[in-house]
Amino acid sequence: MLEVRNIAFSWGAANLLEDVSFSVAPGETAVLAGANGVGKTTLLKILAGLCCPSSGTVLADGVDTFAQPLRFRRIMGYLPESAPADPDLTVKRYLRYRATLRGEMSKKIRHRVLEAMNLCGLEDHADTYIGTLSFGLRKRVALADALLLRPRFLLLDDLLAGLDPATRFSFGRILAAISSFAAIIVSGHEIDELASWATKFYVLQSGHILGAKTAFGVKNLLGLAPRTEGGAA
Amino acid sequence: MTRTLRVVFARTFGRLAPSPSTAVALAGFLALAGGFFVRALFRGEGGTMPVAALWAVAAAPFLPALAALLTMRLLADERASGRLDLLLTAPVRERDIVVGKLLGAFAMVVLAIALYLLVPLFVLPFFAPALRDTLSFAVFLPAALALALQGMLWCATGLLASACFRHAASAAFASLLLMLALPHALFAAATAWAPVLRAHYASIPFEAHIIDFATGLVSFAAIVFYVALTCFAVFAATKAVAGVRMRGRAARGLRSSTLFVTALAFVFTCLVVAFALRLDFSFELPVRAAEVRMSARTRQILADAQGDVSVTCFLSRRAPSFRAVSRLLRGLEATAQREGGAHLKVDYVDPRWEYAQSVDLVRTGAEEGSLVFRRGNRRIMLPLGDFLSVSTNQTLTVGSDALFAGEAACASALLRLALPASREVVYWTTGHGEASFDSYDPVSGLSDIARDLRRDGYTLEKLDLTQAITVPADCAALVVAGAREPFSRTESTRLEGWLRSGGRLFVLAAPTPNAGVGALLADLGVKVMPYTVISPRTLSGTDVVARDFAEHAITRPLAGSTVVFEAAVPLAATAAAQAEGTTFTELVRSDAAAWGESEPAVRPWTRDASTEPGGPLALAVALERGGGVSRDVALRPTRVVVVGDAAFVSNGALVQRANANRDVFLNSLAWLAGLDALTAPRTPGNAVETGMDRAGWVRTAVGAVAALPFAVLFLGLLAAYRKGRLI
Repeated sequence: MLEVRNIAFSWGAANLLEDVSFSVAPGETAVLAGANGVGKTTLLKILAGLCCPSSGTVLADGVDTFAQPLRFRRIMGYLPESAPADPDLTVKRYLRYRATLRGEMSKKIRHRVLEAMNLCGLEDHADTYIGTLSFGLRKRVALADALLLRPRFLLLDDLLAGLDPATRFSFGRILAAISSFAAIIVSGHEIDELASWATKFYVLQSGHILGAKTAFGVKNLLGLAPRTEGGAA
Repeated sequence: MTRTLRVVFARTFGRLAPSPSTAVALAGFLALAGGFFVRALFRGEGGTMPVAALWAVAAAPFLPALAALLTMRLLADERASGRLDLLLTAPVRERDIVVGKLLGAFAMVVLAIALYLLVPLFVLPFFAPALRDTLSFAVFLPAALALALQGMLWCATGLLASACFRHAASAAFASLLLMLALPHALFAAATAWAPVLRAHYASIPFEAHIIDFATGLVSFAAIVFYVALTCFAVFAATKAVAGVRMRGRAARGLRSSTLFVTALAFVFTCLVVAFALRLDFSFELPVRAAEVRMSARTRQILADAQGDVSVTCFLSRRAPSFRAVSRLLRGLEATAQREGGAHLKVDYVDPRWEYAQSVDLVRTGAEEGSLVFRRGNRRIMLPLGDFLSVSTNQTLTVGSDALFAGEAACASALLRLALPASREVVYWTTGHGEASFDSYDPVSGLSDIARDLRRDGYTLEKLDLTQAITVPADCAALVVAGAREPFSRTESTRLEGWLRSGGRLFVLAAPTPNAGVGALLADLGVKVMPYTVISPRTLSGTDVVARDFAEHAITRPLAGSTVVFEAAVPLAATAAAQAEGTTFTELVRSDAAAWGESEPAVRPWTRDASTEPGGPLALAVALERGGGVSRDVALRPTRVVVVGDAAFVSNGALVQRANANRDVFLNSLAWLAGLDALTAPRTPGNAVETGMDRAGWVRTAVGAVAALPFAVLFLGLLAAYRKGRLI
């Protein structure tokens, strides 16, 4: 269970996040929606340990992630929006390098890499240099990296941005497959597509997080729902 | 090495190795360093700077640029592309990331140094067979270690800059600023603030460290200096990487405390370095000892000497002359061991630290800044100032000529310790207007040269031939120093009798016709001509600067030196010099433009070719009679040295002019006294001699500047192409 308690974050004079609290359990997929610049990426970075919040705590299975960062990073997968990867390595080598770096045992690395590649549909590109791959394929590589060691917590920033419909669909299948063992938080603007495999919805608005039960509710909160004749959403 | 560290290191090295930019950087480094090495070798041929030092000094200035090119992308690129965020979400400590990347870059620098080693180990011996036996991996190992230490610091500095910037070019610029501009600016500021620093550090110590290591003198302080600064750079880079997490207003306090901790770490590093410099403990690597070679004569002296001889170097380790002196002593020690003669034991007493031993030395009369040679109860003290025979302003540095004056002085001291305790006596005639050796007149006195003679083990006595029945039997040599009155018949007869039985005479000829022993010299074979030598190449005309030396025991070591004569008279051989068993040598000759002026008082000087002799003119001559016979029947040969200048070694001449007059005089006395070993063995025993002709130099330069770098570039680009990183 990933519990976010009263997180606040300020950037300059602006309070980007205020008293943000929510929780996601393994088997759940939470969608984090919100307008551009509202703080979705920052919130995910805080959860990934890349930013220090002004206040609040993040508990992973009851353990404070800021107090024991290395332990948390071992059970966490993170996919940044830009999906960076070493362009001078082949897909297989890159995943092997990342698995070794993240502390996987040598004898398991080969299995992990194959599993991640199969899951993300990268078998045909195993020996292709990452620098020569398209953005969509690089995002697959980054996703394979994030779920390489079967993380208990998966943080996916703007997962579907810049992808064609077929890839988005395949990513949905991948998330459905891994949601059985991981608590997933995925941010993005593609509410309808994310809704097909999400179990929870959160909307960031003016620094506060609001819960919603359905995609319609999210759109309603974001002001995107179709208006009725009476003007009500 | 932890697993994480190993992974980051392997990734960094794997990223750098097949990179086109690395190939270009390596090739550029090899070409520049190789070119400068060949240039240094060309200019240093005949010099005494060891090949290893030339090799390392040529490469050292380019290491910062190589390190900057290698490290500029390591963190800056990762930061700009977001890969650093990804790296920081892995269960890896920031320290491991930085150290792993440092090791990766450092491994590449070590590879560059190893490739650069191919030049002296393979290219150079191929074209310079004369050096083949002296070039081995062990010889270059200390110098390579020094380069590696510097490379480590430069890599850490480059990594620090890379951690602070998002753009690789900015990181490279900043690291070059940190590595080159900042140290020079700090040094300039420090010496401006405290000019006394210049007495200790003539330049930024980076180059001195390289030369020290290359000559086998490893300084603990230097190692601490590089390691401590590297640790600080790694610490600061780690903090910079960790600073990536410190975003937002709340992290402001964290950023401030990180800056404060980094500043504290810098202060601590400075204190550690200062403490190490204060201690300045040095030790020597045995691999270099065999390379410090002595002249043949010194080796002979060491081989002949027996028993235990202790040498105490009473000198601060921070003195500029310490390196040169300690290198000389190491060479003597190693040579003595190799020759199987005296057992030489060298001790160092630093007056700043070893108080008890310093007090003991001072009580026995030793001065700070001197070498004390001991054998049994006999003791000889050599002030280091005596090593500086050319100029009192010259500082002792590795490879300077003064070092060989030091070798001469040490060899003399060892010889005197090995010889019986008696001292050679040099008599000086009086009563004919001669200059006196106990005159301290700053112009005409001879006190300076007398001090040198006493230091070399001579006893000086005056001799009045009108009183003495004959020249004393213990007279090693008789000096007639610029006599202006002729010797009486009685005196000449006594002198002649003594000379014919193997006497030794040194004459400083005055420009007065028939003065002194002119008549006697003519009988022996030397004619003092009634002219004054005029040289159109000097401002005064009567000063003659001579560089033309004969191949003789006295002048052999003076190649490249100059001797200055003031109001010189030319000398010539008479018929007696042609007699069998007589050897007449023109020791010093003037240039061809000089001539013998018969009327020096009449200006302007013009040469009358019909009556006045033209150059080159003999200004100092040596005559030996019976030398060949003596070898067979052990008779003592007669030896005479005549210098055509009465003020040749006067106090004025020695103080005001930087010349080899002193050496000519001392060498002459040593030759006359039969102590040939005391002639200064300036011929460098460890001079660099490549034996290459013009074609050899060209081939070596092509090999070092073009062939090797091109091969590295080709292989690097090939590896990059195979990895798909070229296009």
